[in-house]
Amino acid sequence: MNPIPFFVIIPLAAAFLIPLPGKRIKKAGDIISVAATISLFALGIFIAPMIIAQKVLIYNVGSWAAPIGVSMIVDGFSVFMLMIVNTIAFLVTFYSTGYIKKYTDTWKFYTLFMLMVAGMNGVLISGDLFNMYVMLEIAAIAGYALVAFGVDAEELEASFKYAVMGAVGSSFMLLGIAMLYSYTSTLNMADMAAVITARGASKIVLFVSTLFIMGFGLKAALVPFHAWLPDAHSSAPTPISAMFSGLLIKVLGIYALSRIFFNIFGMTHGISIILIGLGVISMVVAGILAFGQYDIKRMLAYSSISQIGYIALGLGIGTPLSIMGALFHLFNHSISKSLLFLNAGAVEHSTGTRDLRQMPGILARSPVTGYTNLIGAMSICGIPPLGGFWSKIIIIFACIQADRPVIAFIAIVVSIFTLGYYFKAVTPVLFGSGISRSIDTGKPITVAMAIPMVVLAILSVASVLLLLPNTGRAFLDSAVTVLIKGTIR
Amino acid sequence: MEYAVNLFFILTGYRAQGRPPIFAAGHVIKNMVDPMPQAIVSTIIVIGLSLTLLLISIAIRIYDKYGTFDITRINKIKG
Repeated sequence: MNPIPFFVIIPLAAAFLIPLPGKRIKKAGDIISVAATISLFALGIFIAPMIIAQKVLIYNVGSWAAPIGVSMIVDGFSVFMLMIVNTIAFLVTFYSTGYIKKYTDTWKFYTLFMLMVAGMNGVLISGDLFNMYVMLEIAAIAGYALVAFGVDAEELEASFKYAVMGAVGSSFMLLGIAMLYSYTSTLNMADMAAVITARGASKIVLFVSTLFIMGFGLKAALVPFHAWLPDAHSSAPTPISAMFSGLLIKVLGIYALSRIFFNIFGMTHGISIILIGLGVISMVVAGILAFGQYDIKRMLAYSSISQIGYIALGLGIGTPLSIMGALFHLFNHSISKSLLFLNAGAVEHSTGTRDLRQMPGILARSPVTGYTNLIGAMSICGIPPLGGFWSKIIIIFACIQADRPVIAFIAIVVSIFTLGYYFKAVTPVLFGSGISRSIDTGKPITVAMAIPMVVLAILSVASVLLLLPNTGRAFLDSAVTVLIKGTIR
Repeated sequence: MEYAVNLFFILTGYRAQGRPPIFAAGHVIKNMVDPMPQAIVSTIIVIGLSLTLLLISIAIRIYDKYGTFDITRINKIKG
């Protein structure tokens, strides 16, 4: 039996099953969602060797052949992203079981969470442009609702802002899809790529590229379109911030962008320049803005924008080395930024504050939180033995190799900025001597919260194994070849 | 704005003096209207409905908290 559709079926079934006993049995949401995400994780591990051996798996929905029916395609790049999504979704769900108790109606949280996972997996496996749009909307609408989950004034405001901006971005995407459909008369991505190659570049492809850069750039939070991200990340419940920053902006933004520009349109010089430009602006602007933040989650959100800039830069340069660097950076950033957001949640849980000026110092209260926070921050700043160092240095070398020394210099300067603002944030979190004004202090970190943090910390140390030949390298390279080869299949 | 996109999508499938894309015995299929955009637009309308409902319910909760719909006064988030 073909395993591909189960990536969407399992979370959707969980989202349906959770509300049924949810009101009566308190634990039902915890149990069903952990079971669903662990089976997704197992499915990812099951499918990865098949992809490395066979390159691509195709499932035709309803047995209609590809150009007419909707097809689901998993190739090297999809499976790379699927592994990241399902690993982090599993760990975050596990963390939620310990964290989410402070909200009422937790079953609603888990239902929305599972819908978001279903949407993200759907984006990753769809081989049809409109199907991808529908899945993207499922993930995004679940996301809008989850930002507002706490129904405080700030959360509602952030959610409204995110929803309005997201809706505008989606309209641009839809207009782009409509124009492409009228130009190519197909919605299947592989077929579309073949038609565009046969008919050559035209003005309409250029216009559609602009629309897609606006639409997906908004989902990826590249700088001119980033305004929703710090609000949404800092207001959402912590597990959701981790999912947003680690996965949602990458799957909905970076994955979809690179799928369209590398695999459908084919990379051109103009798009390459635009991606490099957006990447550099994101890196620099968000890096500077992150200095001014005193809310720990807001600072992490700006840091996410800055690191997304690195990924866009690596994709924009477009040499095999830089694409590998970008994907490796995507992996490292997903792991360590999810870890840092989970840490921020644990800090808030035990000290009752997120303000760096009031931070009483977590290391004495909870060594697990303190040390894992240090590892995550070190990985993102690029301290040598950890994964973040290698991915950044690959991107910088790729810049020099592609004869862009100025951009390489900017990348180095921004990584020093990164070190600066993380130093400013981590010091008070670990050793601060402030006094929390909240009465909600002194709660211990539960085991369910500690285990995912430790696992993520181990992963962010071990991520360098992906660069070792024969083991992780096959996995990473199969993702890179998909993007370089240009077309799907 | 969404309605404009929907209308555009429907028009891409339009053929002058087309006939409905229904296969019936004794008819020669020629010059038919493309059925795909119509199927797609009905999906988009459902997505748009859910989004509108979500936005309205958030707006109602915002009115509860802030007591106003004036966006210049809904400004608790800074930075």
